[in-house]
Amino acid sequence: MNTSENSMEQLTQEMENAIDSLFTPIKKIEIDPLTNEIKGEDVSPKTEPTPSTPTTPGTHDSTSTSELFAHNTAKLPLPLQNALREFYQSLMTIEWEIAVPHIQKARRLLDELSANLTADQIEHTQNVMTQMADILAAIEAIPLNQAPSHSPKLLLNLFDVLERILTSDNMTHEKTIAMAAPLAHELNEFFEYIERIQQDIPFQMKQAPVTGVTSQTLASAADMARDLQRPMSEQSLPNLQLVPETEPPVSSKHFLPSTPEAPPLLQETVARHTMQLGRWVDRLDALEKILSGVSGMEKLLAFHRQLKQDMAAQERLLSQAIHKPVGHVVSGAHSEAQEAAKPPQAVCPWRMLARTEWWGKRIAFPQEYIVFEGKLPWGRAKKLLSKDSFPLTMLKKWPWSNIRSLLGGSLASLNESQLKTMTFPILVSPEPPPSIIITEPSVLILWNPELSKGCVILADSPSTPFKTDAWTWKDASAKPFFTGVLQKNDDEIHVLSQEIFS
Amino acid sequence: MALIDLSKKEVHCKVVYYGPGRCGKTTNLIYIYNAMSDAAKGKMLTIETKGDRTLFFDLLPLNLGKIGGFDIRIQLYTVPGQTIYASTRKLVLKGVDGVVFVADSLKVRKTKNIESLQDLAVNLKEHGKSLDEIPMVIQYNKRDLVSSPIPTLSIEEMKRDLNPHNKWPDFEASAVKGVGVFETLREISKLTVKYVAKKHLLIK
Repeated sequence: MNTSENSMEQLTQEMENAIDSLFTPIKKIEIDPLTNEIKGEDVSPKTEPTPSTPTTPGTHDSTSTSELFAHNTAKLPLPLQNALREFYQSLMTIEWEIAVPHIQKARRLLDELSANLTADQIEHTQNVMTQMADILAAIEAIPLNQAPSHSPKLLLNLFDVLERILTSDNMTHEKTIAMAAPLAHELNEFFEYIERIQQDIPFQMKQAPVTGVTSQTLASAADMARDLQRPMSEQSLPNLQLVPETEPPVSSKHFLPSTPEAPPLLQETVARHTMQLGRWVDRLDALEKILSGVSGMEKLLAFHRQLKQDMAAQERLLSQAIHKPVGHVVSGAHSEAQEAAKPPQAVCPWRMLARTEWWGKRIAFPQEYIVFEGKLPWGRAKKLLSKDSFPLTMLKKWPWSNIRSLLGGSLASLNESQLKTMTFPILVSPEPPPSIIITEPSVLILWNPELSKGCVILADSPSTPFKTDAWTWKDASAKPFFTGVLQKNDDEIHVLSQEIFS
Repeated sequence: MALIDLSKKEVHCKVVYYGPGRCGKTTNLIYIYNAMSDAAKGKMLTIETKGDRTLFFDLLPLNLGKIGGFDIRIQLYTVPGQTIYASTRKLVLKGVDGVVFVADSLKVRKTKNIESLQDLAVNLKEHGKSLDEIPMVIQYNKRDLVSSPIPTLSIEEMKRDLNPHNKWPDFEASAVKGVGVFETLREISKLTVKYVAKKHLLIK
């Protein structure tokens, strides 16, 4: 036997030893043939069952997939478990092959998953779900050969976070942030990469004729832009009305907006910009959610809110430039004919709203109304509970503090001397006060630029933005203060009307 | 063919669990995945399923650690057993280094077992390989049903059908209970790494 053979013998011997020591069960389990659950996880190190004695008869259902992943979802409702499982499978399929049908399926399943969540679950998972939706939208919207190879992994990591949030007890806002925090860097890198790719795409389109994949991609971008357009054009008043649809059904003009003056390339480019702006707005929402709960961050929060509003406005402008809106909002008085032609409104007029709790009741309002959100020093907050108005000077921490820098929206454009004189009414719920009064409320200053009026809500909790897609809309304009109710399963959120500014 | 990355000093061996539909291929992997120490296993993946059937395949990566300076990894795959997924089965066999043929002990599956073994031979041939060349282990699964009223095949009968010349090592098993699962795994792993090492690694 020569040296080479000796070495080979030694190598295979080492491999066999490793196999013998590693490939042994560390616990004795049993797979339930009916439910596919793993049973009897008794730890019994290094005990190997011997292939001899026949055991209890049973039927075999051997190709189970439900136990492939150690996900502790058993305590979740069955529809949610199923939705999670299906969505997970779709992500695995994307990991196998990034293809448009797989991405579209995953997006659809993500929507279905969100429809199975309760209001609390949505609140906690919204950030993660939004990021997943953004990633899926992004990889669908770019040429598939340029999709970042780590995007499936990123989606799976986000899924893990999502699942941990859903299966954890006593979940809090801070905990959800902590869970998602390790992925922040990866997410940033991903979106930066996508932005770079998207900047190159119009140029690439000029170079080559539109291919099958590209056209799908562009359709998706246009769809997304259309979707994003809806809420952004409706950010003003709860009593605004939808102008009836005069365009042909969306399906008949599904691909591109029909503006004859704009060349297709321009339309697509603008669609991409609106999509990008929409994504930034969503990302700022997530940031806003974090900042709104942190004392001392009021100024930064105001800055981000302003940035977000500016972007939303830009997005709205771009959308209007290339689309004939599906239903656009007009303010103020409108004709009786328009009123009569108003279509039945089953969906919420806003895609995004901010929500909070007020006097123990869940309420929501357009985010754009918020010009300040934060907590006041304890003594001042307590004093506020017995007052019915809020002078803006109460925001000043020190006599020399600047009020303007704490505010966002159009209120921040007023000069300091004007702001010092302004006082807003503190809203009092028409309903009886709750048994528990929050002694350190979140102060929300809402401002309606069209009416030039504001009001203050002493909320039980910081506001959080949320998407209304999964909620059904019910008109409630007969109720004082409210214009409608968002409903999902047993959850209800009352949407404030313009009456709060009167 | 095993994937050998000399720059990273990694050797990936591919073992495919093959057999007729519902014979217990994925159950083998599930058992291994759930009963094995985390140190040696990766995350089990199932690529697209419909209902409880495997449409594409399952993949379970196992790691033997560093041996002779090489990082040895064994990837366990399953194929969809159902007849209609012939193309997927063929695809998964590409680059296979070892096969576990999982046979079903139910009497009604006798023909399916034989057909599946023939199907394996044909598919291997398309990849330029043969059952004589590739390491293989046969597992007679669902032996726990022998004592039930359900008609089952005897070991002798199954050997006669599938391994008449005792060409391949074989094991009785009950994948749902874990019986014979790790014996099968260890045997095919040893045969496969030896095969890969002899075929692809030049020892200086």
